[in-house]
Amino acid sequence: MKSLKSYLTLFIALSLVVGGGQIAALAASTLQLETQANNDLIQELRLAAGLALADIYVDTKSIDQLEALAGDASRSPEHRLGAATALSQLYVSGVTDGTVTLDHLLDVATNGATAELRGAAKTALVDRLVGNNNAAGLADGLAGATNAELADAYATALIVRLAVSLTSGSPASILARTETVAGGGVITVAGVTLDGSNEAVQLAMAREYLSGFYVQFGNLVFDDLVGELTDRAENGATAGVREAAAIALETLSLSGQSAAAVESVAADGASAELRAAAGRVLARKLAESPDREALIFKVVANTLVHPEVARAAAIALSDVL
Amino acid sequence: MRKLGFSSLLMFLAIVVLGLPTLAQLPDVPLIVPDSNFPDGPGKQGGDYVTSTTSDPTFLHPLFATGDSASNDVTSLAGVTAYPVPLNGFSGDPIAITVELAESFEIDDLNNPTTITIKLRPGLKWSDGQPMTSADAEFTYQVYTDPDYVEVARSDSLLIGDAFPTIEVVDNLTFRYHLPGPVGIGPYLLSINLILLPKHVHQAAFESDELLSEDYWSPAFAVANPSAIVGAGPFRFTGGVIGQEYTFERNPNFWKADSNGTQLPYFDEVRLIVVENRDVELLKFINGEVMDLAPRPSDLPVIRQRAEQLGITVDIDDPPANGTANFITYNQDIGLVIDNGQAVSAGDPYKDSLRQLFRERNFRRAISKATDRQSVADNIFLGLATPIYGPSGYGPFDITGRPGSGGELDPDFPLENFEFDVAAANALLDGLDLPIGSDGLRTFGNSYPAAGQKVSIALRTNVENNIRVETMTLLASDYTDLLKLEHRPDPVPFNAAVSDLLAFPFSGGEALPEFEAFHIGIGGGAIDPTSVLTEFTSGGFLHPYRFTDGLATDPSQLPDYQAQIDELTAQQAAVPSVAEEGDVGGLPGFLFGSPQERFDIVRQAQLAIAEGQDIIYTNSQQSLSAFYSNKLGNVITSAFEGSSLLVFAERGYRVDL
Repeated sequence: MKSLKSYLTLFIALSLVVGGGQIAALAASTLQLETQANNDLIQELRLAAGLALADIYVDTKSIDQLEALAGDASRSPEHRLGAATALSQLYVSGVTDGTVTLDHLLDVATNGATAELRGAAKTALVDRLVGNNNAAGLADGLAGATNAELADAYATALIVRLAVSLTSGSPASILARTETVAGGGVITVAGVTLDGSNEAVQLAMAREYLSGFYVQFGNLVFDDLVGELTDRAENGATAGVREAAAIALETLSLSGQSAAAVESVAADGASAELRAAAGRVLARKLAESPDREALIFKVVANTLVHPEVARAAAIALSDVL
Repeated sequence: MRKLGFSSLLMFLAIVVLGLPTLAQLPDVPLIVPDSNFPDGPGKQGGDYVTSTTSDPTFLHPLFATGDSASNDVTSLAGVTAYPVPLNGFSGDPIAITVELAESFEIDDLNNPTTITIKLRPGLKWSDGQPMTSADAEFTYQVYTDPDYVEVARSDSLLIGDAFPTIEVVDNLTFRYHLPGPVGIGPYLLSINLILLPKHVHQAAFESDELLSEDYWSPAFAVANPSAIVGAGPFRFTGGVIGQEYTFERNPNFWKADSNGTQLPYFDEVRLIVVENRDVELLKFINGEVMDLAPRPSDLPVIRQRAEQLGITVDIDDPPANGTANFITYNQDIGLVIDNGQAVSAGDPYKDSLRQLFRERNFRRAISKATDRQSVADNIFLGLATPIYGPSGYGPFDITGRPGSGGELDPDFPLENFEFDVAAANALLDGLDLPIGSDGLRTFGNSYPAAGQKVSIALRTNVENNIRVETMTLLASDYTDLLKLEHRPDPVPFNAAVSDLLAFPFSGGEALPEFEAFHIGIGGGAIDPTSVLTEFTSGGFLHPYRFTDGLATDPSQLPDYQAQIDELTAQQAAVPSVAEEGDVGGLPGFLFGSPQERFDIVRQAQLAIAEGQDIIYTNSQQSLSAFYSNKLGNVITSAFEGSSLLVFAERGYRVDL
């Protein structure tokens, strides 16, 4: 039986042959990264190249160029994601200096040719939606959203706009209210209905508010905060419940553990949300002292069996490509 | 003798020509800021600092710009206000005074002072490169004591008895105040420590009275003429776009340096970004567009789950000693107009009835006792606020038990005026001829001009502040439901609200505010009883509940407790300090402590204020701050609210460059 090392060596060699990528090359050029992002056999290696391109594109490409790249269906999703990541940053700074308008962002989020392009508008779009709408207006926009990315933006803006109203009453009442939405239920706050059966609303509540509530105020309502959140992250009935708890555990538990311990959770955690949260923490830990070859090995070794570990390694690898 | 070769000559010329712009243009005697003033130690120059504000500045006028926070931010960064002042005064007890723009100052007799002599640092320059001299001090004093400017410049604090000191120019750098009578020198130094006006910039406007205009140095003028905005602060104004942002660059003539000789400030540039509301401000902070934030309690759930990932530090501390004190006040001048210097009814019976009601002390006590301060703290501030019963800024003189003040609750303090008791509140209102009408709400009884009409009060606050809007809504609902006294939420834009609130001083005494009830907060400023009490005196700038007190020609025309406040304010200011030389932040200075006599007088004044209940204090929020610790070093959340931006901007630096 061939050793694992020789198997991986063959795998890497195949990637080099088929993709023409220059993984081992020092300081990969933009062209090399673009080739890698589109052609590598291993998804996470394509991701690493795509994210590395994001840092380059922010300084070298215009909004128009990045919109074209992110909306080009002939490019790999990973390359499009890299372009979209850079585009998102340019949109944000463009909103601040007044060169990017709400109308343009809405157009991109509504009519963008790819999910990556539509998603690129989200961060800046949320900023503008909040600046130009009250909660009722945002709820109306959410009701009329024609795709998932637009719904995500409206739902996020709505939760941010309602944060003051959500943060009303005792900590226990706030928790009950927000967990209802994360759990798929319905509440009314400041005259606006939040329906957790809408996935965008459920996940926005989880990501934008409830997870942070757990971190900041969770000890006011739970005696065993980490224990309660772990149970929710593993066994919660909805994605929203699991997601909120898992995100909170990043700060309250995972970040204080060793990289090996976190990797174990990323590999074998009881829910997809918990594995993803551990993967995000693992990526940060791996990025603290990145070893390019070790990261490549970790990507290749985990891509088929532990995708969150492979993804974490890819994110860390993108910093040193 | 060795001759310089041609290449050497070229090199020499290159060094001379190219080197000149890089030399710090410090004065002959710069102020060296001791290392203890830098939380992380001396920093390094470079990079920008980006922060935010939720409104455009209203006034950049060097005399007026002490109202809204946006105006204060712009004018202090530009060195129009805050800097330049000759001395640095740390209010409190003891008051600590040290040299700042001045090289030295002398008081002929600390216990019985007759002169204060101040010498400026040699070589000082304004941000436009013009020299700063004692002629600027003389001009400044001329403006402040001009009869047309006393009201708007709030120069009443300079009076000793009924007279202003005189000023003498001793030489190009030295000027001397001659005091007309006995005064407590410690607090008085805080008053006479005027923000200097550059004579070469403002003299023409003073002579033409243009300097009296609210439009002088308007934001529109400033963005069109940034180089005209001259100051002596760490930055100088470089321009902006109204509604979008204001920019500043390092003042090449700034007069402070660190112990390594590096000229301050460290930041090359400051950008103040204008955002529509605090929700957008939060988003721009999370997105990394701005580097720091004063978060609301409701912002914390949105920040905390991503804080570690983004490199954000969140701090929660006691309220600053002069932290924002939120309150409600009722316009006791409503329905009055000024006619030939007299306050007369405008002839509206309904407003006359409101005025009659608001002037009843038991009405204000009823409102206070129907205000559930703990509920506001728990439900709107999520436990991140404390109930308060008096203003901020007294420091150790505070007798209300205010957290962070350094004082303690006085056993004689009338806490019963503040305890939540709906039954007692209604009993007080029942004694004011306010019978319940057919719709279950109170009406004016026969003792009022508008007998039979429903009492309906607009409770106003600034719409941009979500917490104030939430509080306003909660309290309006409580007063309506619990007291059967209809209150209608009335959110308005901040600038319009402040313009009405301060209509009397802004109009030179020609107009009165028209609000009915107002919920707002005031904080910042000196920690000193004289500064706080002056606002409660009959002629106080922030006496919005009854500006007409300032028209009284005799104390007998005032409510008894108001006359008492006026008298006690003057008495405590005249108590001589106990002075000694001492170290102030590593620099030489004077410390002025108050004897027990002053504490006793200030105590009496606070008791009188608590009896009057003209201002119904509600809550003070704990100090919350959030910033990118992976970008900013020497972050200072000052114990003196309102100055932390300027202090930090002067000493902060980029850690990521």
